[in-house]
Formats: sequence, structure tokens, C-alpha cells
Amino acid sequence: MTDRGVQSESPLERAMAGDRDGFAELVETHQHEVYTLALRLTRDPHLAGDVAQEAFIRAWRALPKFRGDAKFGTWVHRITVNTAWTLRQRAGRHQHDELDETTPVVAAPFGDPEAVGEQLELRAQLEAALDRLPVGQRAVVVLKDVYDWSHEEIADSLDISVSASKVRLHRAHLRLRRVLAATEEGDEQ
Amino acid sequence: MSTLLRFPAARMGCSLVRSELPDRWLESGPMADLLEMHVSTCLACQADFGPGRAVAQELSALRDVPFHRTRPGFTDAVLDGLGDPTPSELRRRNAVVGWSTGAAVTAVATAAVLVARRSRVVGAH
Repeated sequence: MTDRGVQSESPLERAMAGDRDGFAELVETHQHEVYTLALRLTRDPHLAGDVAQEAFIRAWRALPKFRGDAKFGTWVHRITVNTAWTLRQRAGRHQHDELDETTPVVAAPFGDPEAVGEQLELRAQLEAALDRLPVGQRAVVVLKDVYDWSHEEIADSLDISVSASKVRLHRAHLRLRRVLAATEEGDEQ
Repeated sequence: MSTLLRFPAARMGCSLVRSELPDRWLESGPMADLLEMHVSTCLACQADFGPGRAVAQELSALRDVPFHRTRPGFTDAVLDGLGDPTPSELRRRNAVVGWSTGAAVTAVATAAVLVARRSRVVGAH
């Protein structure tokens, strides 16, 4: 529905007013970042797709309660984390699937080809190292180190204590260090 | 539990944090309470939990990593998943165009009556 009266407002304002076209614009804008977060949490491309879709549907239903304290992107990230947790529990499984080789990315970094190559290699190593973490530790390390959430926000979203979040992060760092060191040693040999 | 409490707090907590105890043991129940108290006071733990670790810095680089992409048709799938407009959604829309719910219901009812009358008139000919 597109009403003349709401045409000049932002997509968010239109969506909050019940305009599905406005909401579609928000989905277009945020879908890749939401999917990326879901993929980093679940490491399962199919489950991540379901999580992203469900997160947007939940966001639509919750929009009347959105007060605008945070940016829409931040708000929908929180919903994505909660949704990922719910769907993962519902699925009752923890998969360590390798990323689907066909999963494309938007763009490669720009610059000196050699530097770009090193950057891509480091990223691939980091993503692979994240794959080796238990799901609870991975969630904390992704939200804290990659998305810069506070321990309080993480604890609230994952329904754990702040201390538990800190412990998971600490343990995840130790494990990542070991994994990355082993990878480097392997590369040197 | 009582044995644990006899250890110096720092040593006990640090060993908890570093041990191979399952995460869930530290996330609820008496162990979690103990850990909560410990982490808030142990300087060694707070140093460990402080910023500036190399791994964290490397991971922060992922923040700017090109996004993975959704499959084509994702937006349509989301919109399909919204289902039919709910009464509250209709109320929100009506509010935006300046109609009260009552006015909207009246308008719909009036339109229905007019259509029905027109049908009867057309049918009569």
C-alpha cells in the first residue's frame, strides 16, 4: 500500500505506519547484513536464511513498539540474535557445516592486489577459526568482537549472566589463539 | 562447593574461568553466583577480560568484511510471510491517512451497500 500522505516520509516512518512498501525498502537495505549476522551465528546457510526471514517478519510485527531509541539496523540485529537462538533450539541441532561455496559476497576489498590477497586470507582463517568454536562461545565472540556489543547486551540477548558472557569470550579467545597459531604453523611448514 | 570456597578467591575464580568445566556449569546455579562475585573483584580476571587482545582486534576487522548475500527473491519471501493485514495494521494505516477505525469501517460498509444496490439495479435491467 502506498498512500500519498506518507510518500514523503522515510521508509522507516512509512513502515511504522503500516506501509508494506516502506518495509520492503527496509528489508532491501538491511537484508545482507542481517543474513551475514545470522550466518556468523549459525554457520548454516539454510538456517541463516530462515533466521533472516523470520527476523524481518518479527520486526514487522514489533514495529508498532519500536521507539526509535536505537537505529533500525541495531534493533533488527537484536531480533536476529534472538531469532537465531530460538530457531537453533527448535532445530535441536548444532551444525558445523562449512560455508556453502556458492554463497557469494558483495565485493572484494580494493587496493594493492597482494595486500588484498593477504586480507582475504586472514579473513578466511578467522572465519574458519570461528567455525571451530562451540556455538555458545561463537555467539559471544561474534557479538562482542565483530559487532562491538557490550557484555550486558549479549547477556540480555542470549539469556546468560554477564559473567558467563565474559567467561565465554575469554575461553573463545584462548581457543581462537590456539587455532590460529596452529594454522600459521601449518602454513609455514 | 565448600571446598571451593576455602581457596583464595582469585585463584579459585581464575581456575574456574580457565578450566575445562562446561560453560553451562558456569551459567546458572551456585557456580555462576560464585563466578559473578569473583569476576567483579579479581584483578587477574579483569586484566584478562580487558581490551586490547590481538585476537579481538583481528576479529574486529570482520566488521567491515563484505556481507554475505541473501538469495534472490528474499524480500518477496519476507513480504509473503507477513500474511494478510491484521486489524492493528489496518488501524495504523487508517491513522496515517487521518481516518479513525470507525470512519474506515463506515466507509467500507457504505461502499458495500452502494455496490449491492448497483448490482440490484443492474440486475433489474
